[in-house]
Amino acid sequence: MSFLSPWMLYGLGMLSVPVLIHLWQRRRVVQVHFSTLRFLKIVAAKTSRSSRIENVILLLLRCLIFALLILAAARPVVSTTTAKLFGGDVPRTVVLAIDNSMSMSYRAGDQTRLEVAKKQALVVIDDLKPGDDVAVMAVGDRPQLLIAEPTVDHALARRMIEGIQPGETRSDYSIVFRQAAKIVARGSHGVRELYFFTDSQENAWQFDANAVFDEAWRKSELHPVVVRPDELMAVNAAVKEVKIQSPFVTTGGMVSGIAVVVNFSNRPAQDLLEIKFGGGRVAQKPLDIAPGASVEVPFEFQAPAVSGRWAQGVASIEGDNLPGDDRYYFTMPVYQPPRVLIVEGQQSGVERLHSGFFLGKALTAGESGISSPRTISASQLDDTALESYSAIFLADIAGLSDRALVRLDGFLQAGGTVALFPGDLSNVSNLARMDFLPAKPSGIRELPAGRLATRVMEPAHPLFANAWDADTPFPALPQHRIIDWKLNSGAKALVTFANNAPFLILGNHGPGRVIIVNASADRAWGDFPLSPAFLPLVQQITRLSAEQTGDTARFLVGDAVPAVASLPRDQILTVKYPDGSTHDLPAGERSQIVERIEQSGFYEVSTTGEGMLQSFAVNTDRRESNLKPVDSAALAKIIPNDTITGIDNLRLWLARSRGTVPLWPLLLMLALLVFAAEGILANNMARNRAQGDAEQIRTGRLNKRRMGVSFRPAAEVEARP
Amino acid sequence: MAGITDFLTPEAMRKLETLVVRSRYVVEGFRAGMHASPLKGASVEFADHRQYVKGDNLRNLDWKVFGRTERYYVKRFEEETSLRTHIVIDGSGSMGYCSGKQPAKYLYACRVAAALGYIVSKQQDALGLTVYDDAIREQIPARSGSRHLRTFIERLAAHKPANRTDTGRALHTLAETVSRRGLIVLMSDLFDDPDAVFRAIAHFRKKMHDVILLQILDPCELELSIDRVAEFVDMETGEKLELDPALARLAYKQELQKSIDGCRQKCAVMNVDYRLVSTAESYEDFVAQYLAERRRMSL
Repeated sequence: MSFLSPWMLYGLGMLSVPVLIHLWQRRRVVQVHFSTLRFLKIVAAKTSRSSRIENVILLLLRCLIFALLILAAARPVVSTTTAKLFGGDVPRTVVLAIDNSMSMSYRAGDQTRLEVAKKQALVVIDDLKPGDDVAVMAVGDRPQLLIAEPTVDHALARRMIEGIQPGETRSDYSIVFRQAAKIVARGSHGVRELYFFTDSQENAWQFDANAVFDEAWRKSELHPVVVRPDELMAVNAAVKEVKIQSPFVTTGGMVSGIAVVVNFSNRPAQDLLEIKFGGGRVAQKPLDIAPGASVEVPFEFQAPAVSGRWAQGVASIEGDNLPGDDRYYFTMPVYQPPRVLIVEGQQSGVERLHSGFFLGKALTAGESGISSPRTISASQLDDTALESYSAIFLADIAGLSDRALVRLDGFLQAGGTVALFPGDLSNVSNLARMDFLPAKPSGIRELPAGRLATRVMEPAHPLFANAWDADTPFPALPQHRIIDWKLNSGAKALVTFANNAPFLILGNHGPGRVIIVNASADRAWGDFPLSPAFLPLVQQITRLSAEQTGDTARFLVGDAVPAVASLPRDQILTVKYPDGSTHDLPAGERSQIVERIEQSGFYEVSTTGEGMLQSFAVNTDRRESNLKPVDSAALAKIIPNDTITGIDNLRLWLARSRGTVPLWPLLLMLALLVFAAEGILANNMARNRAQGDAEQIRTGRLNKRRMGVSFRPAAEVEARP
Repeated sequence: MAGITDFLTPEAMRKLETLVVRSRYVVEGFRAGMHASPLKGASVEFADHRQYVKGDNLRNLDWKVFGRTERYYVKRFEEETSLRTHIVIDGSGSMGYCSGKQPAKYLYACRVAAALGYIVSKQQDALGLTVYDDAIREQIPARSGSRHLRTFIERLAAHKPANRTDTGRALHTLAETVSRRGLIVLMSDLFDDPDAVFRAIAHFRKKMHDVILLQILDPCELELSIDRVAEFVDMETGEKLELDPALARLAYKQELQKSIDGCRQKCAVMNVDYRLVSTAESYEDFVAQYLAERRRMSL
């Protein structure tokens, strides 16, 4: 027999308490002078001996209760051999959970912690008896059930353990206990043990213990054993984040950003931050980080020649024993000239009378960097693919079909920009059908001839950048007809007329932008296309639409990657993984591109015809970088367990507790029985003590009273004659 | 110097004023009194007739019988005499026991003796005293008179309970010295060899004494009302015994009851008036109640 908490045996010293109380009570015996011992001697011969024996028995029982409780608290176990001697055959059901999160890739010496954990798991397998069941799972942020049903096939368990690969996910230890409880609930027998091989990171233990260690866990009767690979004070630094401040990159353009590097160790860290972009090193910064501190390192570089739609960069430090967090991947969109589609309502007659004539001229004027716009009629919008455009100008549209409206909605959901110019063909009812507009039309108003003064409501808006400012104010507009708009919530008027009627309304529809220009794109409602405000405004709207596509995409290992609307749905998409493997996604509606990310690095989404459409960077969860193990006292509060560190200690522990059967439930039961016996005996003694009180010696007076004859008072006593 | 007020309160004396002590049997006094005597003499109580013999006082000749029968018969009358009361008190060590606020048994016995003595003295009867332990320690012969009562009280107060008990020896000695029939009032806790005690009482009975036996016990002796384990020390022998009274109480009471029942039974056989008295009772109430009961029984 051995004890799992042998220090509790010091409590056996408490056995002296009842003995001391007994002796102390004996010392308190007082001396009473009594008239005669004649009767007491007779009585003593009968009662003293039995009373003394009862007292001794009572003392022994009380000592026994103490002893049993203390022994139970020391959690005694007997070997299965001993248990078998008493007729017991106690097999074991052992659940082996191996943490393969990113932190387990920490290299301590010549092997990683995961490799040590696997060896430790094999030691436990070696310790199993042929009839013992074993289940195996690898655990990161979710369980990977390698042997879900406990089996006696130890060779299979061994192969499964050897095959566990290091992961890059973060740790969530709550799932270990939930899953282990489920495994033993499915079928187990004998002693149930959960061996959890982990580096026991403090932050992974931060879960709602009450929710995890619930009724199901208690019913599982699993005894948890936390096995740590080592006790080294792990030194680790990590690139926590890279914040890129430029919205996109162009060849030779300046890119600026900030890298955040954290030192998770208790020693100062000297390192070198290196930024690689497009395959080449573009910046290098020395680092000196205090223990437990983080530093923000600003960097700026001139972008090398970039092509395609996305550029990839990596911020890395020199490297330590945990390489998984030494690199931070990021992607940037490469600037693409905006592609504009003009949808015009009026296409009959001479070209200069077409609704989009002036828009086309404005977009192609000078070196705007804007691709030649395509012009189509409203009816052509039904069958035109819009994914490749960044901006769509709707010029004097009479009405749009439902199909066209759906297409525009999808375009906006993909982050596109729609600018609306009303005209003679526009009417209130047609415009009201366009749900994506940020304002509702209420009527068309005629204005007196002449120029209308304007007021810029939000001068700092990017739409006005490099176009208008205090020195060159937004000009007055020659306008004689406008639409009265009622702004939706979230919409704002960037420019208003002097009469407070909105001229330029901006609103969002999903990730896309919708701009209403309260003037016609032709000369039907005034000479706005000929005013100095027209050309810069059209070009600014187009440039703003180009920035719209510059959103970056970053994910963590374990995340799912949603499909973005800008990806074509009618083509097969090929996803290229960081390890070079590819996966084809069939055409059609897709909610996700990658169901669950398992690797860090760059992912690329491409089509056969258009090449790479999207690239996104995946990094490991930096919460995993803090290798600080949980304090054993704090862990004991979460769940009572045995914590063992190192292979040698594990072997010793197994030898000590091999195939053990817990005895403490039996001892507690015995203590309960002894307590009951003590209660009965004490009760019996108390009854014996009380019995004598009921008896009465019949003296003359008492005897009379008992007979129902009361004494006569003295006055009634017969007087002498 | 001790006086009767040391034992009796004025109130108690007032209560006792009207009481009488009577013997249930005829007694032999040395002067005329209120008690029946075995001797026939001059009194108003007719006893029987006998044949006239020469020398008889002619005053006693029953002329009416002579008229009817022409024979000489002499009327015989009951002689009434004074009562000789001997109060015998056990003055051994055990009689010094008292519990709580109760008086010691010896003191209680002295108060009862003083009460009886006071009544007897008032009756103009003779009063004697014997105090003994393992031998007779105090003894005064029966006499009457208030001066004698004072002596009686002084001798009672002079004794302090001590030594072992040997009731048998003391009573035998006393029985030999008291020749005339009288009333013997024995007060003791009877913590002695019961056979020896009753042999001695039988001695008295054989000599036709009227014997009253008052067994005086403390309430604690009756109930063993000690709550904690204690080492009991015998007040006469000094012996020690450790005992849990709570556990022994029942058996103790049963043993004591058995002893009391034995005494009661033997007394009934020997025509001895036995009473068990607790010192918790008021002594004057006890005396009044007891004498009233005796009076009722003798009618």
